[in-house]
Amino acid sequence: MTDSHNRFLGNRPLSPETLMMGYGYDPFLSERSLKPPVFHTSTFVFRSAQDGKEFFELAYGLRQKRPNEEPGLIYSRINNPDLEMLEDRLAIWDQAEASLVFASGMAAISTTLWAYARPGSVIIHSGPVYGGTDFLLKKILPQFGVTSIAFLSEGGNRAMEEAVGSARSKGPIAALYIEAPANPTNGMVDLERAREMCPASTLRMASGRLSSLTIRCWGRSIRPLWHMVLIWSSRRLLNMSAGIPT
Amino acid sequence: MRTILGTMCDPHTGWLLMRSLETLKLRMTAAADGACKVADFLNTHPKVASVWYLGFLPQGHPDRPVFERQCKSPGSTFSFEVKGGEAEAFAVLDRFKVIKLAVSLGGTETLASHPAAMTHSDIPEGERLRLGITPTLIRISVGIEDPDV
Repeated sequence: MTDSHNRFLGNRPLSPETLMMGYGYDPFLSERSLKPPVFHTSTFVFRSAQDGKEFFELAYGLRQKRPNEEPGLIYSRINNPDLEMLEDRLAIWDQAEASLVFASGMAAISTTLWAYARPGSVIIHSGPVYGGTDFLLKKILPQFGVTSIAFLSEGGNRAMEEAVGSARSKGPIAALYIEAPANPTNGMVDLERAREMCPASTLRMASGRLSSLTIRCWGRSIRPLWHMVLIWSSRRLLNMSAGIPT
Repeated sequence: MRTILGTMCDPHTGWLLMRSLETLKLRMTAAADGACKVADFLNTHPKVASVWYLGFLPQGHPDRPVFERQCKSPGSTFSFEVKGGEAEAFAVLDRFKVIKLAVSLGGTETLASHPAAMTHSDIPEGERLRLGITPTLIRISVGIEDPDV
């Protein structure tokens, strides 16, 4: 493990706010620049054809990573150092195994739901949800045979349990999608109970099963939870307000 | 799925977000502290009907134990209802001098919006009301300005 991936000082774990200034970035790999460069490149060069072959095998899930093998960069749609460093740092905040960052909040939500939804499947969700998500669930996904069942977050565990029960009779459950606290009413949803009812046992990624993944959610400090996919909006993270659409 | 749909974040945005992460804790703490003061102010205001700030959840409310277990803070964003109707809510929003009238939340600047007429306006009215998104509801996301001035 290089120094830049060290999360401890001796035996003491470094706190997330300490790690934000440098975790995952080695200045000596980038001309000793204190801050990481912006890798404005769509593609990366291979040292050898064998390297290219091995990187693609990993990227396409054709084999498992060898111990200590670092997946090589190929193409910025697949991966990019500025994305990797950011995702490593975000995962630290949520004590997650991994994190993914998307082009917008709706890109995160729609990509995640597309990963699980299939024709005939059902998505259960809390209400209210963000307007864009509501549109996706009610107007777009049904065109692809995916139905959604809502429960009011104010209805508590009982409303959630009834919705899950109702969904089970309609088709395989693709996802239990929750906004907690709800936007804009601040209704709470019990995430522990949700996890009990719908274990994320089907989460699979190219590198194997994950027990927790953070993407990002609607603006609250929440305690870490395992076996969940958390979706966050990056709006909160920007210190320049309207600079980036999310 | 992300690779195939191409919905990944770009390197420049990634770099900007890393820059922001360095001050994340400072900003979130300041915003949460400010929101607490704003919520307190609204809670005793004669023209405010209700304040849906998580810090005000009474003991005995079913959401309270969930909030205490799941959340470290009430955060910076909440809604409140003014007395009257849409006209009264719009009047409040139009009079803000420092607070900007805009959707979105979680940034350094305080923003206020009207969910029923804006972000949630395409939800059918009956369902909107059932969800609690009334014409008198204003959502405010408190930023990192001095909450007193």
